[in-house]
Amino acid sequence: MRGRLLLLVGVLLLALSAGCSQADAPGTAAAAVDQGLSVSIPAIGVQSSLVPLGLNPDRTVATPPVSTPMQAGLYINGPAPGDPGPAVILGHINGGGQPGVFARLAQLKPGEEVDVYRVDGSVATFTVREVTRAPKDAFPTAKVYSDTTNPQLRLITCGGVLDRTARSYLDNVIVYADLSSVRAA
Amino acid sequence: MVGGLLVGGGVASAQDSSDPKCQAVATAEKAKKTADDAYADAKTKLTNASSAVTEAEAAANAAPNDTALQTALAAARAAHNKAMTAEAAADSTRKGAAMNLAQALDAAAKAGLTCTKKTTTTTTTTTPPKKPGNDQADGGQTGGGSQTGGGGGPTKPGAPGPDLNCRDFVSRPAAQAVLDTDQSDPHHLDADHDGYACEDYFGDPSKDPQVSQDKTVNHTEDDGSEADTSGNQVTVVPEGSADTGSAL
Repeated sequence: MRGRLLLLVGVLLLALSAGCSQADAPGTAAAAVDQGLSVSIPAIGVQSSLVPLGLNPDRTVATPPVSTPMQAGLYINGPAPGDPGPAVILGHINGGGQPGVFARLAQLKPGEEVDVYRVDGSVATFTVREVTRAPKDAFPTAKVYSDTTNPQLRLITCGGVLDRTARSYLDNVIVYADLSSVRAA
Repeated sequence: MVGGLLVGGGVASAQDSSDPKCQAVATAEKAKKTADDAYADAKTKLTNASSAVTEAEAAANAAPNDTALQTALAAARAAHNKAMTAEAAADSTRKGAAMNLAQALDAAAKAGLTCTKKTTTTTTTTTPPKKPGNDQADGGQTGGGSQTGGGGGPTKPGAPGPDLNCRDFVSRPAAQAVLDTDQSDPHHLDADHDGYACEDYFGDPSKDPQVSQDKTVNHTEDDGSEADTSGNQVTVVPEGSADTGSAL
């Protein structure tokens, strides 16, 4: 019931922020996250459930509450992890004075694995292809959100990379991963 | 440090404690202490920065047209962001140091060694305590090493321990913890002298060669235009980057 409410809020937000010009239904991500999903990245010790993330009023992508920086979220207007297309998971590098769930995202290496679990116990495993960082004023929107032929995953930190210079604090770290296997429940 | 231990330790434990594995434990203990202190310091600074933002926000909200207050608020937020980053880094280093220590203790235990950790305290009880007035006023320093000097002789920084290489550490923060204990870098963990240990070996969030700049700069402008993407798997493409704004 609560899930439906969240979905409703997401759709409402979408309708509001898009000025109702976008009539498309949310991607399959909305339903999947409604059912319950979690992400696990053993290589960097990440384990988190996924909350639904829509758009902010300014049409930027919403992020999980900064007060719970260990919480990751899934962008709902896209495919569910394991469905064709780019599923987008977002998490903070830090927040509220604590390290965030994606504090070590930049240390992920190509070839390492990211698992997305459903409540029924099925697992979609993605293999990291590329780890990049992008200045926030030059975010590679097309590369991140464009259609893909296979199921893919994007992991994005909000908050910037760890660096001594404030400049690169403005960066996003983006991980591109491809579906490598699916294990049924 | 080891020399100091030998004075008070028994014969058997003295032999053990001169073993390189025990020396590694001692080094790791020292590194952990330094990292813990540095973390406590970073945490305090973060708390202070948070309070500063709260105050600046209150002041700025009371006078929304006062540009000086708005500027002060922006500065306070920037300082807070920096403090958060520093705290996260210190926390990472602290955990790395703890991992190092656990690893060193484990290695020593497997070798059947009794590293005379406990005797450290008994032998140093005769050492006059540090004057309380000699407080560590400089919060910016990772000053945890001050207590380890009381072992009965001057501590030769890094000299007696085993030679460490980047591959000996479980993570870059773990190596950083050792580098932080002795900036003279006796183990040459920081070949390029930039303050970061072993970033070539482990990669660093900002310097990791894997983290290349994303050359694709096909992005949305902040003018409300549609994002330049192809397809409809993502039904609504967000504008711009993923942002936390003034994360508090």
